[in-house]
This record gives sequence, structure tokens and C-alpha cells, in this order.
Amino acid sequence: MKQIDTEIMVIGSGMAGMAAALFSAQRGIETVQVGITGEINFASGLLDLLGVHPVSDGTRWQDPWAAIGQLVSDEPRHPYGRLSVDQVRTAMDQCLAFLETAGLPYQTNGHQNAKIVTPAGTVKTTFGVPRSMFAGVTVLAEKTPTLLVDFEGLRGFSARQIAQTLGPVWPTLKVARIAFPGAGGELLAEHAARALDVQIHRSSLADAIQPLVGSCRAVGLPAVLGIYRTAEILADLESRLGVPVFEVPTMLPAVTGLRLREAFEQQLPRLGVRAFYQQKVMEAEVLSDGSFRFLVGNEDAQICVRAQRTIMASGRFFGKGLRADRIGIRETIFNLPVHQPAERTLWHNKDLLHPDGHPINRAGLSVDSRFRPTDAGGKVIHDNLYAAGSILAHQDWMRQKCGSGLAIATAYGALSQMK
Amino acid sequence: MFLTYCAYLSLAVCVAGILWRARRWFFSAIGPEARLSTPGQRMVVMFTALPGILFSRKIWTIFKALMLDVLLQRQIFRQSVVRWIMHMGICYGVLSLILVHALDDLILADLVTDYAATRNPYLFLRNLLGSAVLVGLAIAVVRRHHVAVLKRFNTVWDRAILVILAIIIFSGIGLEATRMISASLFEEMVADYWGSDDTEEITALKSFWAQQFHVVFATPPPLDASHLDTGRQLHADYCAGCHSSVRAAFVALPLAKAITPMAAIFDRMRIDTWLWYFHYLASCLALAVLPFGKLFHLFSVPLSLAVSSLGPAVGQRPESRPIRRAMGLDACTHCGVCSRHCSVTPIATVISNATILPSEKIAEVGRLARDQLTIQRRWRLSQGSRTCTACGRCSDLCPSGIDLQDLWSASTADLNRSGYPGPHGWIRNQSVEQWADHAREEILAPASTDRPRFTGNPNTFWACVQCTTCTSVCPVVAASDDPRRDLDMTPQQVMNLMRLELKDLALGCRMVWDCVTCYKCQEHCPQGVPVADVLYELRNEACRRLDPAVPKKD
Amino acid sequence: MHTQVLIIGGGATGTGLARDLALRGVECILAEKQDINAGASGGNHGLLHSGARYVATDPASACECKLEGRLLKKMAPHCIETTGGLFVAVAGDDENYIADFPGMCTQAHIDVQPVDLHTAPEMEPALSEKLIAAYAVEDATIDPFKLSLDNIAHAQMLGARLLRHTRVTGFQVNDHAIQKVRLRNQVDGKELIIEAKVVVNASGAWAAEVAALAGAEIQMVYSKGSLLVTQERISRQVINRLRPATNGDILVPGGTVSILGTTSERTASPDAIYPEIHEVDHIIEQGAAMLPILARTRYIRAYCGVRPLISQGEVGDDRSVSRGFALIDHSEDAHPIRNLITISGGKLTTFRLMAEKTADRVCRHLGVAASCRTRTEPLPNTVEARWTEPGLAPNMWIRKNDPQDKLLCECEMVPQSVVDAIVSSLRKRGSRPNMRAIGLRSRIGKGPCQGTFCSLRVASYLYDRAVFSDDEGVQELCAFLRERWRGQRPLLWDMPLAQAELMEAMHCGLFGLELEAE
Repeated sequence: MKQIDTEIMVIGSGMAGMAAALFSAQRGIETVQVGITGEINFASGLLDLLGVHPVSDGTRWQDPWAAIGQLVSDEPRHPYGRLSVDQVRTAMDQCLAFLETAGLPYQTNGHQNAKIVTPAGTVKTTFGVPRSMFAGVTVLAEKTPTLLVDFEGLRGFSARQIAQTLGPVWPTLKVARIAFPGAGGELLAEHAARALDVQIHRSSLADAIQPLVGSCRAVGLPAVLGIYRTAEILADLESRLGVPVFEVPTMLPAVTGLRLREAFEQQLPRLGVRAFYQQKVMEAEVLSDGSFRFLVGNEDAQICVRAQRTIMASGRFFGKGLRADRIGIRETIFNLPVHQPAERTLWHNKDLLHPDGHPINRAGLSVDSRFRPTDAGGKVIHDNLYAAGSILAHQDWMRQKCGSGLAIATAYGALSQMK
Repeated sequence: MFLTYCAYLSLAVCVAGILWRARRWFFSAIGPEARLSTPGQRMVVMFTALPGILFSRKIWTIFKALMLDVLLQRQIFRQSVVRWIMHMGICYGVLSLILVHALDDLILADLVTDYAATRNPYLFLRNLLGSAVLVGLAIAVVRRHHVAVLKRFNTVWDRAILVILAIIIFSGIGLEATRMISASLFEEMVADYWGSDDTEEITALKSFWAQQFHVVFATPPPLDASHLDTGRQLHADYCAGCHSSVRAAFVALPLAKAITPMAAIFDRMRIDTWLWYFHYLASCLALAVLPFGKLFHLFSVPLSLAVSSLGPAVGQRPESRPIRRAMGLDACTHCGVCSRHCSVTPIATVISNATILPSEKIAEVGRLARDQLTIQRRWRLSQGSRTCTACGRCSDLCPSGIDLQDLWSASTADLNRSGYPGPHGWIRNQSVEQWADHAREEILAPASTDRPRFTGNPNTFWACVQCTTCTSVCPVVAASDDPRRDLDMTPQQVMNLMRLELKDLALGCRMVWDCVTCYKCQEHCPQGVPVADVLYELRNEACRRLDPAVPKKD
Repeated sequence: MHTQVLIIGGGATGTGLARDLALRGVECILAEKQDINAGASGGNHGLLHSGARYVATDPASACECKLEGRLLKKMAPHCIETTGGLFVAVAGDDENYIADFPGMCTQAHIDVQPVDLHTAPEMEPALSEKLIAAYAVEDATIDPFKLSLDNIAHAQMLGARLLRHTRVTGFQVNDHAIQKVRLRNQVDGKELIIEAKVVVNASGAWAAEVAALAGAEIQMVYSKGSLLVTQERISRQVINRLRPATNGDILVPGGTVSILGTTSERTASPDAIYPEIHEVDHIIEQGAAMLPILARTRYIRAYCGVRPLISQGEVGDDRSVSRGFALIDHSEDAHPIRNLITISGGKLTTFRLMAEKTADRVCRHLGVAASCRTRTEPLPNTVEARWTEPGLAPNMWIRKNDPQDKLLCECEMVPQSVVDAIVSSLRKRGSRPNMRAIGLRSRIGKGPCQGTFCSLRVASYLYDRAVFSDDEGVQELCAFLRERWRGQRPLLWDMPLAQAELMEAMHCGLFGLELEAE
């Protein structure tokens, strides 16, 4: 069987895994990365840092750094508490800089949180916004007269829904529906994006929108402006329409998640990461010298990977990092102890939208100050094993709106703590 | 005179036959382009193109091809040395015999001043060439009974050609042998060429000839030295000019010696005369049937090799293609090389449909072109055609230079058009709702009692979270502007139908048939649902169950 | 408003009664505080009992079930799948009961056939290998939603009126009779007065509450039963446990899924009931003894309903309280109310009989001579109610083959046109269309994703169709998802947990539905 030796093994190809592999490669460390399609496909493209705290009050923050400060003070066990604010900032900046070089530029609202419209018509607080969406942040804040365009056949995206829902706060939002050039019947977002990537319908799209702009000073579209050439397509449209153009996130899974994934999957190998995407860790073993031996692949074929250190960024239930049966929650690779509510009756609230969130979301791996998983008594389990991302305990990324920041910052933290 | 008439008649038949078969090249309509031109137009196109080829540099390409592939038979040598020996033996043996022996009056007699058939080297040559042919034939027979593909599929003509040639050669050898020992012939020759009455001298000559030439006389002549000397002297004066030593006849001579005990009977019956007629008429027959069977490859193969040597650019006009294909059909010698290397040969064993093999398929394609196939045979040919993976090996290896790949795509198109497409074809003849109706009306074959591995197991679909990833990575969906119109359903929708136990609704859906089994859906599914395997399994099941509902009558 | 009869409660009994009365030419209004089948009629097994389950405890009820079951199969075949049923016992079950079972069935006139232990697994491959006995019975399954929707649709065709989201707030009782009934529309808060000659309290588990508003007293016990829905259909027939009736005894096929249940837990009130985690675990353990796959399979939903049991004054195991129904004519009370009748208790299987008896009593009060026609008049298969049938929507969608008709619910393959049809039928009856109403009348949201993706697709579509305006969509999404959550929460482990995480990631993480609008 083929064998690979490496310094660091990153398990997971979600935000945390990609960030870990990125930071590791940028430091020149030999890195192997393994992961299956998981949560990143369902990314909206928006990179949250910290939006809501405390969860039970639903308080939204303009300044995420201050929010982090408050959060860490109120909830010291939160993973953000293992890092300094400077580290979080550096991690985010480094990651955003990488995405820029990978052809996926991001923008922040002067390093503060930004508000952006969702397809449900709600307004979301986030931090890192793809540049192709950023004009949407500005026009929402300034209530600029804007034309919101949607496409026939694109299910789950209704411009009228957004306009009606935001009606009171944004009366100058106009809507229009056009047919996506060349499509009949149902429109699949990814296919529309690929068509635009190869210039097939760019000018027809602009031509269809042009007459509807009227006195509007910006145009919003569902996020289908290509997968690899978003900036080019956006610039093209803006020059033809003569107004700023922005994308609005669509229903998940969305093109925006695919862009993120593609950016990482294309660039990380170029930085030297030996990546095994769409493959699993079939077996994991900790050897007597503290290093690791993995069997990586799928049912049909595997290779052996030997690593000095491992970063677990394997995600939660959907990402297959954690698994629950009727009795309790397990960690799927090393069977590490999982911090969890005492019994299943305590996992979820009866109200889906209970303001406190669901206790099970705070379950996960407890870690020490160096992001190494610990047992209930606080003792580190394996000296060379680290964890990052949503698998960590004491956070509720879905309610706190801190998913990407958590992933990126903890990956950074784990790596910088490695001796 | 009679024999000459036979010869001329055979020649006429042969020429007529050749013309008839050549005519077929223009009148055969194989492939979709055939409808675009009439035979007349095709003839015009070909003949007007000829000068352009013959009077250009292309003539050298043809010349080279003829040298290497026809004269030296390079392709055969590359594939099998044994086969090359066989073919060279038969081919050159026969051709040389024709030139040197059959047409000796016309050719050698003019070229060589003192030609006599009984002289060396001609005597030797005939035996040599004859034995070359026999060696070749022997190898051929052994091959035909040992090589797996050939063993099962020997046709009448494969055997007939060997038999005809064997008859000619054996009868020729027999003829020579019986003549050698024929006393009557001796008498005739003496009467025709010496005219002596001197019995003493004749006896002496007889002695010499009995000893040296193995003639068997009713009354054995004295073999003492004085008679022999006299005989030798007489021989040198009157016979030796035309008669070389029979020792050169290394095949006929042993035979002659072997039949010596029967010499008297043979002589009384004038077997030698009979054999002469037999040999002559057999040859005439071979000439006459030459255009009608495998022997025609003498003409068709060099022609085919010449054309194919010019490369793919030649014969691309819609008028030329049917001609090329028809020529190709005639150039097949059923040598079986294509089938020996065909990449789907094992399937032919499993499905027991011979038309999967190129060497058998080509014959059926010929019959298809002449509208000689029954419905059942058309369906079998259709199955054989679509089992072909178009890998092109047969085309690359064909020693006759036939463009097999082109023939297959043309004949498959013809089959599709005339209503004999593969499952992916007849599936499209009806819509998915029509197939669903058929399922309700229960005219489909029943579902198998064995639970299918994927679609019969509810586990398969437990994990689906409806994320639509399989649909968004599918290249077939991406290639369509309107997946519902072109494919009826997306992969995710097919999975849901399976989960809802509405399999009958999915059997006729075009997504199942257009799936290129790239496996992206399965590899990208975050939950490990085997999407591609399910589609594949559905396809197999649809093939089996929907077949009864397909109208089979013309 | 004026009418002859006001029916309170839109469950199987109420809608069945409306139809029965309408067929007799009696004018009636049905007021339902939520939507059709909001009570026990919407939270049961969907089982058309053969009656064999009650042969030990209540033979009269058993026989009643059998007769009504046969009648319904003739009258409403489109609501019923005649699956047949099995009673099976596994190693460890009460052998005495097994031995007595055939005899008890015969005594109660229930047909039962013994099944060979080699044949049973061939009929139902999912059965445990540890079977020790098996009997075949005449069980069938019924779609209670289709049933009630067809009943009320037919009643409406004959002139009856339906008021959804209309709750009784009080009665004006004078002279030992109800003069006026006060009601309030739960959606817009408008008050309404109805004057009816007779008032029928068919509010099921709320009968005691409603009667109390009129000053009548009914002793009622509330017994909650929880059930689980599996992702795919596990058995062709109904599978019952051959033992004295207890929890987790029955697996009922329901179209493309199976329903496993049930439990019997005393609850203090019929409101705010939840399928609890311990119930779910218990049901699964019990069911897995009969069908081992139940321990591993994916469950997509849990739900519960409250059985209204009129107490005869005893306390104890609720199963011992009669499953028979109670028809209370309050003109015979100590404090009589001349024109109030309460009908409660009973089983889904006997709804028609309950409605018949009630209608007989009502007509006696009204002096109407017409007799019951529901024994002979088949229940029409109305268009409005058809979309609850599993597998129907994809069938129609494929046959219609309209490229413009896109699927909104992928799990159950329900297209736009079905949503259009339901919206227009709701509007035709003067009802406001909302997502829960659409979900009730179709299969939307009932598949594995439980609304993860279809909720937004449907909401957007309803905005496009101008059915929704303003921020209704956000409210509706919250309400719809919360409703789906009720049924998911007790079974969130393994796959459903991953699905729920995905759902929360989208609707909370991205859309922030849990937050107040700023």
C-alpha cells in the first residue's frame, strides 16, 4: 500500500480544514489534507466573525471585535477565549488575503460587521462579504433606489419576497423578473453560473436588465455570476449597465459555497498541500511515539498516511465529525470524549426558534489553551492532536453568527500553538 | 475446342461477375449519406475523382501500399508469421501457377524461345509452387480448426475456397503423376513427335523411359545396358529437347511411383485424360466463381488497401462514402483477425450473439445492405452493433484495409433509422408518461424476484438530505438548457422516486439513459448515496422490463 | 349568523356529522378553532381496525370496529388501502394470551386466520426471526386527512359552511337553551355570533372545555399517544403485537411510509402536547422486538394526539376506560340544556357510526324525519382532498409533463400546480391560504427534509403569486418550521440530526429567523 509521510495531517475540508491547510502551507510545513464534501458546499459565501451576543437576547453587534471581547468575558470557555483579538484579526486578514489571490476577493465594512439581505427577506449581520455582494451592503445601509432582479425558474428566490419583507425599511427597492438567457423551464443556479463563466450569455443578460433599470442607482441579482470569473462578469455587467451591481445570496446549496470550495481546492495544492478531496479517513491510530497513522481513501482503495501532528477539523453532525445515536454523541475518528448534555432529552428545545438556542449545539470537543482536545478532567488526550472549527464545544455558531471566524481563527490558533 | 470454349465462358462469367459486384458498390446504400445521392451520381463522383488521384503524387502512396501490403503482405506478417507463410504460399503459389502454368501458352511461350512444360525449371517450378500452395492450405486447415474465433464461425466459403484450391492442386499433381506413368501417352507422343516405326528403337526408347521416366508398360521392356544406351541416344536426339529429368518433379514423382501398381488400370481407363479434363474444368470453375465468393478478395483487397492507403481524407464526400463501404464489405476475407482482438469478445460468449464479433457482424451488415435480414436477425444485429465500444482496434488491424469503424457507425445509423435501435433508442420513442402508463397497464415484464442491490434496499436512500448536490454536479444536466424537457428528471428527483417506491415512473425517464456514468454525483454526495450505481441499476432493469412493450413488427 | 345546527370541532366526527346532516337536508355550520383534524383525528395511527385488538378487553367495541370497517371500505375506498394485517408474537410474549386469542376472536365475531411461521416472513420479510405465532386479520389503513377533507367538501357541496380558525368563546344560555354562540376568528380577532337551533359539541378532547362554557359538566380523561413515521414503508400489511394491548404494539403502513406506535400517557390537558423522547425510545424498543429493522431505520417524524376518554369515574390504566363513544344529550343533565349535544370518545374507525347516532338525535330535536344516508351513499372523492395521497403528486406531475410546472417540494415531489390548486380551493371556501394549511392538504414538508428546502421554495412561490405580502413570509416560515420541528425533535439522532443541523444552519445561521427584525 502506498504510504505518505507528513508533518501535519488536516482532517476536514470545510472552512476550518481549508484554513488550517492554508496556514500550514503558508508556513512551509508539509501538509496532507483529507475531507469529503460537507458543510462548505452549503456556505453562503459570507464569512461571519461574531454577529449576535448574547444569543438569548438576540443582540446584534456592529463592532465584532468589541463583541468578541464581551463574549469572551461572559463565556470564557468559548473557543474565541483561547485567542487574543489580534490573533483573530491576523487570521481573518490572512485568510481574506489568500482568497483575494485565489480570485475570490472579499471586502469588509471597514473591519466592522456589515448587514446584508438574505433570500428570505431578512437582514443578516456578517463580517467578510464577497466583493460581488458588497454593493448590496452599501445600498441597504443607504436605502439607495435599487432594482432587484430575479429569474424565472429559479426556485427559492423571489425578489418580491425580499422587497415586500423589507418594505417598511427600504421603500425604494424595486423588483423585476426576467428570463435567464438561454434557459427554459427550471433554472439551476450552478448551471447559470457556469454559462456566464464562459461568456455565453453575458451580453444578453445585460441587455435584458438594461431597460428595467430606470432611475434605480444599483442592480441586485441572485448570486449566479460565474464560479471562477465572478469579478470579470461583475465588471462587465457594471460597465454595460452603468450602475453598481451586486449579488444576493441564494438558497443553499449555493454557487457561493462552490466558489469558496473551488478557490481552496485549486490553490491549496499549488501551495504544496497534498490534498485528498472526496476521500475519508477510514482508520486512525495513535502510535506509541505520539505520531499518527491513517488509512485514507474510500471502500475500494486506501493509502497510508503517517503524520507527526493532526488537526481535526472534521465538522459536526452534517460534516460527520460527530455522530449521535439515541444514547449519546461520539466523535467519529478517534472516539474522543465529547462534552455533551447529560441525556438526549436535554439536547434540543421544544421550540425550534427558542431564543437560547439548543444545548446540543454547544456540545463538542473541549480543548486546552493550545486547542488540544481534553477529557472531562481537563487532561490533554493526545499531545500532538489538535482540533479546530465547529467541532469545538462551548459555541453555538449558528446562533452567534460566528461560524467562519471560529473556523479560521481556531485553525490559526491551533497552528500557532504547535511547537 | 470444348475446353477452350469452357475457358472463354468461364472468363466471361468471371468478368461479368466482377462487373456485377463492382456495380453493387454504387448501388449499395449504407449509411445516412446514401440517401443523398443516386448510384449514377456516385459513379460520376468516383470517376471524376480518379484522374485526380492517379495523376498526382497520391499514386506513389498507392504504389507503396500495393508493394508493401499486397505484394509483401506486411500487415499479415506483423500479425502472425505463420499466417503470412500460409497466405504467401497460397497466394503466390496460385498466382504463379496461373502465370507460369495455366497461361503458359499465352505468356511463357512468347517470352521463352524453347518453352516446354515438361522442361525444367518449369517442371520443378510447378511442383514447387504446387507444394507451396499445399503447405499453405494445410496451415489454413489447421488454423481454421484451432483458432477459437475461426473454429466457431467457419462459413461455407471458408471451406469451399480451400476445397476448390485443393482440388485444383491435387488434380494437377495427379495429372502429372498419371501422365508420367501413362504408356498410352508415350505411344501418342512417339507417334506425334518421332514418327519412327522401328520397333527395336522404340523398345530401346521404352527401356530408357521406363527406367528414367517411370513409364509403366504393359509388357516391361528389357532393361539391359545395350537397350538403355540405345534408348538414351534416341532420347537425346528426339526427346530431350522438351523433356527434362522427372527427378525435378519432387511431388509428382513419388506419387507416380506410388500409383505404379495401378498403372495398367489407369492406362486402360486413360485416367490421365480424365484428370486433364477435370483439372482444366476445375480451374475454369474457379475462374467462373471467382467474383461470387471469397476468391473475389483477389481484386477487392488490393483495391481496398489502395484506397485506405490514401488516408481518411479520401472518400469523405457524401457520394463516395457508400462506395467505400460497399467495397469494404467485399474486401472481407473472414480472416478473423478483427474478432481475435475485439475488446468485447468475451461478451459474445456470455450473450451468445455472434454479431458482436466484427468478423460476423460485417457479413450481417452486408446482408442488411441487401435487405436480406429477417426481423429477428435485425434485432440481433442491433444488439451486436451497440455492444461495440467503437474502440477502433478492428479497423486498425484489418489486413484488408477496411474502414470497419465507419461501417459500424453507418450500419448502426441505418438500423436506428429503420426501427432497430438499442434500448436508449426505443426508450426515446415513447415519453416517460407513456412508459408509466405501460407500467400501469402491466405490459412490462414483471420486476425480478431478486431484490436489486441498490434500488431494492431502503438503506440506499436513508441518508439523502435533499441537498441537490448530485444534480448540480451532473454534466448531463449542465449540458441541457432545460433539464425537464431534455431529461424528464434530475438525478435527485430519480432518487426521490426510488424512495417513494415509484420506480415504474423512473424506468422510462431519459436521465437514466443519458447518464454518462461519470460518477460525479456519487463522489460528491455528502451523504454517500450511490446515485450513479442506482441509475445504472435502473437502466439495466428498464432494459429488461421495457423490452416487451417495444413493438417488434415492421 | 343563523343556522339549524352549529357543529363545534372539525375532526373526523365533526366533518362526518356535517356530511350526514347535509345529506339529510339539514343546514349546518362547522366551526373549528384551528384547521381540519387538529385534534386526535390528525394524530392517530390511520388504522382501520379489524377489531382483533379489543377482543380481550372490549368485545362489543371489537365487533363494532369490524362492521364499520367493512362499511367504510365500501363507502370510501379511495381513502383506504386494504392492506390486511397480521398479529404476531415473538419469543417471550404471553403464551396464554396467544392460546386464547383465536377463541376470543371467534366469540367477538372477528375473522382471524392462523398463518404458518414459514409463510409469515415471506409475506413480510422485515419480521423478526423469533416469531412464535402469527394470525391474519382484516386490518386496513385509512388516510384520516383525506377522509375528513372529503367529508367536509361533500358537506360544503350540499350547502354546509366551514369556519376555520374560529373558536367558541362563550354561550348565551337562557331558559335552559343556548340562544347565541359567541365565536372569535383566531387570525383577525373578529367576533362572530351564531344562532343555531341545535349545538353539537364535537370538539373531541376539548369537549369538556366547550361544555363548561355552557355550564355543562363532563368528566374527561386525556390520554396522549405518540407515534413515529419512518422514511420508507417497512411492511405491506399492518403488523400488530399479539399480546395484551400495551405500548409500541402496532406498525401501520401509510402509503410510502410506516407509522409505529403507540403510547398511552395521562396528560392534564389536551393542549400543548408533545411527543416525548422517552416515549419515542420506548416505542422503538417495543417495535424492534417484532421488526428488528425498526431499531436502525430513519424516522422522519414523531407526532401525538390526545384520546378523549369520557371517564366513567374510574382511575387507572386508560386503556381500561371504554373506547366506546359517549353521546351525551345535555337535555337529560341535572342542569339541563335543551339544545346541546356532546359527542366524544370513540375511535377513528367508528366515526361514521358516531356521526349517525348524533345526527339521529339532532334530527329528533329538530323534528326532521330524514334518515341517515351515510350507510349507502358513497363518499365522493373530491379534488380538493386528493393531494394528501402519497405518490399522487409525482404521478400527476410526470403524466402532465408540463416543463413550466416546477417541483416545490422535492422529497415528496409536489409541484407548483398542486399549491395553486390548494390555494384556490381554500380561497373558494373563504379561507386564507397559509403554509400550514397547504402543508396539511398535501405532502409538502412531510418527507425526509421536513421543510428544510421546500419551506423557502413554497414561501417564495406564494410571494410570486401575490398570496403573501409584507413580512408574512417570515412569520409563515417560522410557523411552518416550528410545526415541523415538533415532530422532529424527539427523534434527532443519526441522520435526522444531520438534516436538522443543515436546516438550522440555513434558517437560523443564514436567514436568522430566530431574531426579531431590526
